[in-house]
Amino acid sequence: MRARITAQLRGWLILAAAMAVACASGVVFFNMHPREPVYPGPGVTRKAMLSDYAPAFQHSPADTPVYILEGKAPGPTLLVFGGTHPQEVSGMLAAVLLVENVRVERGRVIVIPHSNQSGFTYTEPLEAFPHEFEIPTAAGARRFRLGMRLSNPVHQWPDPDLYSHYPSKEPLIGSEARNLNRAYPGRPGGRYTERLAHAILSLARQENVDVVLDLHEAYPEYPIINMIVAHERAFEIATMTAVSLQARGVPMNIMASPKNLHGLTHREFGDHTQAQALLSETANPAMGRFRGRTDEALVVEGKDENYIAAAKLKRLFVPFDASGHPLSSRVARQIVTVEELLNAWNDANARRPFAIAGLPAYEEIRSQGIGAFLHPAP
Amino acid sequence: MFIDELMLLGYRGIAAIVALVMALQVLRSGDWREQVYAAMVFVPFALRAFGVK
Repeated sequence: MRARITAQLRGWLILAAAMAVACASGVVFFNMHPREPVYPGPGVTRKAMLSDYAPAFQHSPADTPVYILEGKAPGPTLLVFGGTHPQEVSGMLAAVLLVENVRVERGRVIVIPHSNQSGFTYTEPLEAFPHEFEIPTAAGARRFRLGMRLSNPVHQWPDPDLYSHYPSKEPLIGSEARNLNRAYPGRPGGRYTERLAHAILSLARQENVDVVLDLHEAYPEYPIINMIVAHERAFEIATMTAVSLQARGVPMNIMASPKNLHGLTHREFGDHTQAQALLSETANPAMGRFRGRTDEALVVEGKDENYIAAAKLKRLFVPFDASGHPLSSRVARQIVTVEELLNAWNDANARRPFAIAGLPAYEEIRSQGIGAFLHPAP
Repeated sequence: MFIDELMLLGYRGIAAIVALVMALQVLRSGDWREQVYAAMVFVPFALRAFGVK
């Protein structure tokens, strides 16, 4: 009888401890869901939500702000995506810099900084990624979420054994069913990520977008890096952009979007909308398999001894020395790519040009840091 | 409601049942090892049941 009471008492204590662990872990997971603030700058004329274009997304975790910067004079429309892959942070931060700094005088710029909001709500288990990183500003630090490449499994589950892309039926590994950049053009009755892709493509159609630029990063051992990938209809402006960047000392190559690789922005926006579609890649050592300690410093400073060694062994597709690939340089690359893309569009479409102001300069971002161009933390 | 949302709800329901069974096992078992193992299974399934993991 006494042993029974002891076991029961022990059971209650163990259960209480397990519940405490569950609650503490739950708070950590729950804290990944609140959205980080973006402070619209003077150039933002309208803030919409993705659900305005796809009402089924209202109050869903996929719904995400869409910032519209419209000039007084009519002109072409550029649509910029950050956060298609939330782990590729320079794209999201470059999009935030556009929202908080740019003023459009002619034409329109539409920016979605957190394209796959779901991917910002988790990090992959066993990868030891930090949940956040910090950017210092004049009035204190602003913190940003570090997410993952795919939609959170709590929003789309289970993964199929084999993901069959709609409508091409191209087979991919099952987890790619949660990859926004393998889900375009999407479908309104599909899985969560397909519905998200369909909503974003609908936005591009409804707003008569002329140019789409999707901002990405890749690991330094990946061959498609410091690269603009362009749909065949965008190849002229992509080439002009890359040549201008090279002339400014920003190494950039171009690659044609493969016609048999489906679901990506540069392929599907080019095929399914009137837009000229491009995707840019910078090098992020925090994503690679050679990386050492994975912490905020690696995300922000981009320095890693393993990558220096790998570069000496010629295993990388970008130079890598002690200065690393800091986030400020990667964001500067994304911003200068936007600048030169607009210049290329204007050269190719002199009767219908963009005119924008307030775009942070490449050298200024590199020398002063990203925080100098972010709205100070309140 | 979409089919994947229904599947997620079903999964959370199953996770809630597993968490509940593990909690009962912690309280009913007389062996401390069984109690600890059941508590270890309880934690992730409770989080899954609430949809935060």
